[in-house]
Amino acid sequence: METILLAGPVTALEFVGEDILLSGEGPYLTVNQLDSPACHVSRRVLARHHIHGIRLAPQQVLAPVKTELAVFGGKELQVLELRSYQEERSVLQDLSPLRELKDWIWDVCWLKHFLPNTSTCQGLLAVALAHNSVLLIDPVAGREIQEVHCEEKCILYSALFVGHEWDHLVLVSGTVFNQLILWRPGNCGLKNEEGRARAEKRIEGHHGVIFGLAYQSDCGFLASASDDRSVRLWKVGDLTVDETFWKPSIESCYQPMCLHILYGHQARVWAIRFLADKLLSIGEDGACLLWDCHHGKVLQKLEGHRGKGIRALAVRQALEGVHWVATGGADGGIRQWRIDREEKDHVEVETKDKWLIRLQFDGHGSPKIVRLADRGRQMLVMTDMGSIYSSILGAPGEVNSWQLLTEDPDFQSYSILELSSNLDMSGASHMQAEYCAVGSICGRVKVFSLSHPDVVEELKKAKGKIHNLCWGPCLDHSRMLFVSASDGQVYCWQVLDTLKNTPLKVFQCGILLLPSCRQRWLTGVRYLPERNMWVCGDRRGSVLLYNDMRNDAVLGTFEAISFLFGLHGKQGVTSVEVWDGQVYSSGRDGCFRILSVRDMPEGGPIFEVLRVLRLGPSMEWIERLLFQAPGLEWGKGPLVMGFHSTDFILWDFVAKETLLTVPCGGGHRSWTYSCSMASGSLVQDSFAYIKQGAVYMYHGTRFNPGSSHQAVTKAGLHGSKITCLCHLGCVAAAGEAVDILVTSSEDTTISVLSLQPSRGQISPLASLTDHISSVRALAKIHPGKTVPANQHPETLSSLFVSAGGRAELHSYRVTIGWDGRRKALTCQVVHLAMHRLDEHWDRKKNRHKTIKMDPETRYMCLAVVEAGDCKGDGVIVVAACSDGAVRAFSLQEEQRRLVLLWESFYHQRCVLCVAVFSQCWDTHCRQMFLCSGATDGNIAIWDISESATKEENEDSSAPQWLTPSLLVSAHQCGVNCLDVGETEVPGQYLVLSGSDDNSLHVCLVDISNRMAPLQLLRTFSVVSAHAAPITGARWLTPHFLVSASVDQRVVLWSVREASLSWQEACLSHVADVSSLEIWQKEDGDKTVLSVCGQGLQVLQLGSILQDISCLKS
Amino acid sequence: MGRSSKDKRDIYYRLAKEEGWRARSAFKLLQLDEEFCLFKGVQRAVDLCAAPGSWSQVLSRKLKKDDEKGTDVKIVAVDLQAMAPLPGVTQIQGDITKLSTAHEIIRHFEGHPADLVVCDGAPDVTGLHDVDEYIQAQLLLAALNITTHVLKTGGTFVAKIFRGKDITLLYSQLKIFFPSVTCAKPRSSRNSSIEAFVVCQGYSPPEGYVPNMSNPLLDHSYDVDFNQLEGPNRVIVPFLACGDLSAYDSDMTYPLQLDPNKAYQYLPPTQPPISPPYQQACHLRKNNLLSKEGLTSSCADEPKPSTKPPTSLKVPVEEVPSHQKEDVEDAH
Repeated sequence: METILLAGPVTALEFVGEDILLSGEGPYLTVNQLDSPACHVSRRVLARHHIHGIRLAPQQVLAPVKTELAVFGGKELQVLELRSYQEERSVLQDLSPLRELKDWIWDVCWLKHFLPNTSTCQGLLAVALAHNSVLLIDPVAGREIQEVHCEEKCILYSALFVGHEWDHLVLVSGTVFNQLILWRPGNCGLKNEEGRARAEKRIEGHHGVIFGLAYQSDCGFLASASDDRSVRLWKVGDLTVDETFWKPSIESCYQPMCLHILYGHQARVWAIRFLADKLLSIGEDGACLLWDCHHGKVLQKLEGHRGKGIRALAVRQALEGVHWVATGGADGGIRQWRIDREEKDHVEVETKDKWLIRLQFDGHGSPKIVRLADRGRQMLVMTDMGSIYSSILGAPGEVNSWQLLTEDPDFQSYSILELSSNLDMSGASHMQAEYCAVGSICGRVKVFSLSHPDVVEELKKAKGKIHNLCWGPCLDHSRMLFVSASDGQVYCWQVLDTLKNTPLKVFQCGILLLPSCRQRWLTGVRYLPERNMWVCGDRRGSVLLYNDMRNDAVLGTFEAISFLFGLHGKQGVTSVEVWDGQVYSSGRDGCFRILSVRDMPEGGPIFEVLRVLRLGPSMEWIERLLFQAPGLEWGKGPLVMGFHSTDFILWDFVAKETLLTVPCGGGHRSWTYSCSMASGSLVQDSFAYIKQGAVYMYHGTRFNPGSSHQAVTKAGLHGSKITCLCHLGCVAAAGEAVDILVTSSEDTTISVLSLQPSRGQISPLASLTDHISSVRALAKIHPGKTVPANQHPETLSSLFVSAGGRAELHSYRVTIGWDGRRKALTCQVVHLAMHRLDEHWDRKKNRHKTIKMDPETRYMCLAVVEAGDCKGDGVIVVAACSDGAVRAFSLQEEQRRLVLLWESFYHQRCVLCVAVFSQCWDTHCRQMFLCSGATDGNIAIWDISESATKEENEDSSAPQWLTPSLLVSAHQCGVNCLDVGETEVPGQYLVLSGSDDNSLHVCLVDISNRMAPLQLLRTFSVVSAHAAPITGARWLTPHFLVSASVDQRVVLWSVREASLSWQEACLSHVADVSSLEIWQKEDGDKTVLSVCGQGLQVLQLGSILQDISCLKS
Repeated sequence: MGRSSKDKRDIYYRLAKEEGWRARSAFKLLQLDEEFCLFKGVQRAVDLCAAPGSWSQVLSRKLKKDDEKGTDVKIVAVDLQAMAPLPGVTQIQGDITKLSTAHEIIRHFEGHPADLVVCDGAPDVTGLHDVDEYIQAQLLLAALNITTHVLKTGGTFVAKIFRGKDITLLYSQLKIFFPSVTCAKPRSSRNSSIEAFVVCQGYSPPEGYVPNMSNPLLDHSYDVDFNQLEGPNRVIVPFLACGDLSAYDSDMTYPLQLDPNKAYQYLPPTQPPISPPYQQACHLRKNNLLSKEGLTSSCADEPKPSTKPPTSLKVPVEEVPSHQKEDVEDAH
């Protein structure tokens, strides 16, 4: 078995020079070349342990790079040489054989100077071990020179060497007893009567074990991070030089002083590093905090890793320019962060390139509306006196004089103002004018161009108050103005570009009618060119579709041809967008949705929601989606603007990180945002709002995510344990077969991933966030014979179901294709249907007679079978449930429905897994069987053929025919996995199960006689197949199977004469293995295995292939 | 989520509160006893890493009941931290890696060795499985080391293990001291948890073995012949699921109302958590006093560590690493 790919927590990071970042993932060391991401090199350097640290030798040559590295993890230590020339792949060469020490390694230090009684000491290493001892070794010669024990021999959770000279070397130990112990293994250190080194200084204060340590010699700072979620900063002075620190006579009076107790993390703190006189800390909360050591304040919070926990931290301290920080997550992602070198205190409001200020305003009246125009260079303000002022923005906070554009008493106290964007539909910015429209309480609307505001066109007066004004750009560089008046009437006006100083060309087009409701006005509108239709959003939360009204000569009234009433809830739709042929809507329900227009066989086109995307607790109020800005395009997904608590937030949906936070006080009635390219790699943000009658403006620059040093060096997969992995199929991408996988996780998300075996790369295509609790199971619907397989090798369309906590079930269709123009895979996801038990119960009649369905029920496993011929496209989904039930659902893709068919509480215990198999007798008859395993070790086999014919009715209780045909007591306890394999004999099947009791069990069943009940022919098992719970077992052929266990072994077994025999095993580097998936490679007869848990590993089976082919022949 | 949601998800947590056990882990020892008759003839028992004391509670209730007079039975509970007193249990607040602790145990037994040593200790976890498994193994070996000082020949040792990737190394080590080693999983320990227990019977140290605490016992290494890393030869001890099948299923979601004739009533935990390390941090977080970054200096106020302990502590369950949930819940 050969590893193709390993993705797991990044547990070590180190910068080498400017362009190389080393990372450790499992036992693999990766050289990430930052200037050319395609040429990364990855190699396994340890045997069975994960890399926990990388230490560079003090002597380094940086151009070209040539340096020695000590890489360690667990008990293993390896010394390598890294060579790298520009634009060439780096080379990693072993300098020593891999060493396994007798105890766990916490730190390694390269020593500089001679030992007195040895001839040489070049390349000696000091190694700190977990029982508080230090080992001096010569790694190349493979010799242990000396071992020094500290008198305090308790177990350590961390250790840090200070210094590079053996004599003066200091070890700071972080103990299980919440202490820091400072001692010296070298000759300067004191010894006790047994010859052990004295624990010379003890620093106490933490309330939990010590997870991380850091030392800064220039300032004499020592920092410690702990289980108590604090970082403590201690003043210790220079430990290696200053002997006064160590003098025992003054031990009692010289106790290191605690400068600061830094509480900032929401959970435990794992590691810390100094960056000049600042400190960085990373923790379980997924945040990296930059602290000011002098004042103990948080300067910056770096967030972006998925789920919980950053595991690795590296800093690149620059003498000039910017510093860089790299973080490695438990999600397997690596990110880089730019830390600006700022002379001024960062916390201050006004810095040279970042400020938030109240603008001087001396116009007539109190500002009510603010808008930014001309890429944020011009500001428009409308006051309660009906005046519109304009100002050109200059230097920080400076406003050139406010110029009065127009004033009208009719627009006093109530008015609406909206600017048209000068971006057209394709995103290109044209040298065309921006237009301004204002509306009044009595129905007046005026329009003028910002380039000549003196030419004002008044539209025909609308009926009643103007509720809102919306601009919609058209394809032909013209634009439509939508005037939302009373009674849900929206007057549409076409506004065309005109020559200077000539009257505006404005044409009335038609009237859109909004559905009847209380707050009946338009909040957003966009043109959908593919259909020649208009997409609208309204204050009631509905999303609507209208036919194009521009060529309507009679000025008729248009009703929506399709609408989804109240889609975004009562708080309303905040914006609609059309991008890349898809429709997006955002709302104050904390979601944005992707919609499409589908033609119905009868009754014309309708709107349907493809997906709902939730941002989670980070943003409750989404205001707008941004796909482009002048000179900027980020392609993959939108930036989301919104408000969270008292902040305005700009959030990158793809990179999952906050780009901008402005503490503006919260959601504002009038606010405006604009961004544009500033220079090279910088983007300029402008945000203005009105608060208590004053205009405030934020202005700042930030790093453009798309520029050369990518912020995301490697995308993360899941924030916590991956519970299930499913291979959907293959697509041809630029001539190469790319595997498409889907994974579910305890972090409540599902990821669609592409796996490129040739590059050893796995990248996320989409993240599905519909589940509200942990997702435990996935099942793919195998395409039946009706769908010709492999018709379009460049696209893959696949249907799957997911289930998890809170008794929640979702189903999706994903379509993956290859976009040759962009040279990227495209991924469209349609959320087809969902089912929740508590909702099901709420809908039931006579529900007072039954016990309420418990929403705490967890779905543990899923199996899917096509119902086949009887009911068209019906699919039966069976779920194993923690409340002791087996439940069957019917999934109808066309109707987008999941319906509960029946449930059986036969097991009376938590059902852990299910599997299905079916036997086709002829074209009209298919028999379906279900196997279910519970925590008591029993496996039940059921004939569920009649499910397909069961009428959907309210009564979901177990039907008469529903009793198991067979009950096999296979295991002592929990059946974790089931798989059914065919045999060479028609009608005979092998049911394979793996259990918590370490055993594998096989039963051979016979269903060949349709009239007779299912027969159990034989059973056989292996008792101690693994040393820990077996969580995955799959048939490869009737003669071979694979099993995977929490003991991290993947074992290949052969089946002969009713017995299993061990063939081959492989140590997996994924901890807490939760499932095993197998698939055949399309381009050959190779079998690929994948295990997932804390990460995922993909293996290719090699040697047995001949065996299999032998057996076949 | 309401306070009853843990009652719904975890039947044994609820039962522990109803029956007055300090933690749900009490049921694990009871079910181990059902299978192995651990308490038969036991006069002197040691509970290592005893806090919060549920196993000591079990020892006390079971041993005192079996022995009618209750005078000869001696139970010693050892932990680094103090725990609320239990009737009939002598507490030693000490470190199990210290020889003095072993001597103190023997002193309480008036010079006699123990018949039974149990250890349900779990270390503080890091969430990195390799580190956690290693530290758990070290804790078990420390418990084994002190056990070799206090256990009588033929005595029994029961300890918690994590069945992870290097579990066979622990098995091979235990087999040196005990002819009979079984990996047991009580039904009250969740199927999803990697936790299990080793029941080591018939203590018989190798000939000439001298108990020694000056150096820690280090774990074994893989071996090319008998305990291979990737080969077929591995030291795997027999597995036994303990507890009656009619017992409650720890993985199953039960409705709150178990008995149709008895209405569900929420009960507070028997023993509230003893000052956990995150107490201060939770207090600061609850009062929005954690340091924050901000554009305005008012947002970046330094938290003032309060000396007053918070009156109540509520820690969201989501913060607990998945495989460790059970142990943390035990402590509550």
